[in-house]
Amino acid sequence: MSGRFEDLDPDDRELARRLSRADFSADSRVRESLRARLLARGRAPRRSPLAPALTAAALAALLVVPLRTFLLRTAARPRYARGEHGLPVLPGRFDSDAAGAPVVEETATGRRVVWNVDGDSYILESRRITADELFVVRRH
Amino acid sequence: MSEHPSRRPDFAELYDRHFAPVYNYVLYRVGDAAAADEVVSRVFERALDRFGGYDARRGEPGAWLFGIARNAVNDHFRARRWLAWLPDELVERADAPASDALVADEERRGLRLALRGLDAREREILALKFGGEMTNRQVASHLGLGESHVGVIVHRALKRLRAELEERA
Repeated sequence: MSGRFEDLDPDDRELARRLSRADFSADSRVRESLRARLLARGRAPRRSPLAPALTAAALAALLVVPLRTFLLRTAARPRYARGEHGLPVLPGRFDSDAAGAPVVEETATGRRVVWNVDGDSYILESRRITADELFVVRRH
Repeated sequence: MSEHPSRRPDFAELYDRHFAPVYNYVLYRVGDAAAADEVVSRVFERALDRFGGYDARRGEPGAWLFGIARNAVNDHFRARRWLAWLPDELVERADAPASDALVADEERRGLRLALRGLDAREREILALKFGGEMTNRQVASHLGLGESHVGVIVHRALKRLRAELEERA
């Protein structure tokens, strides 16, 4: 029982011949249409398998520039906290003993804060102005 | 199935040379023409997808294609497992194309029906040997079996197939 052709009995040998001759592919209904479809697909320009990765990399590169600019601006902007009167507390430092406590003054048109440091006055003033005063330089 | 080992065929050549053996192999295993058409379409579609990466020096294109075909047939059986709960008559009717009765070649039809009486292993081996036009040695190498083991299964399968044919006659 080796399965070699010459060892088969005559009936099995005849059946093996029948099987070898039988071409079932004659029953296929897709042989020609499948061939045409696949060859047309093979001729069409193919998308590189790297295309999705390249697209993602290009999008990332496009996003990096505005994102970087935004982050740098955000990082450089000082963070203001609101003070007692709603005025921003500026991150100024007067580490000299000569710096006195700031003086808050109400004025007729608004409010101002004055620091006296080493004999000099530094004034932060808020007041309502008219459009005409926008570019007027005032000296104290 | 012997080919020049290192020349890479173009896809049309591969298709024309191997369509019939691949189809026959698939039909031996799935048992009806409509399912065979479906599975063979999948085989050649996958082959085209992977053709760019095929290296002729690493094996004959026929063996490469039969590897794809074998997986496609297994996928087909996995996908149809849910049909197992249906009564046999319904499955038979679903398997057989409407015009099956009109198939001119009764010889092929008779063989096809008789092949359904074999178990999966016997069908697979006859499929490779007669459908895929392989020698016992090639079948053995493809399935990872001993050559003499393949010979024994071929012998036994032919006997059973003959009995099936006689019963149906």
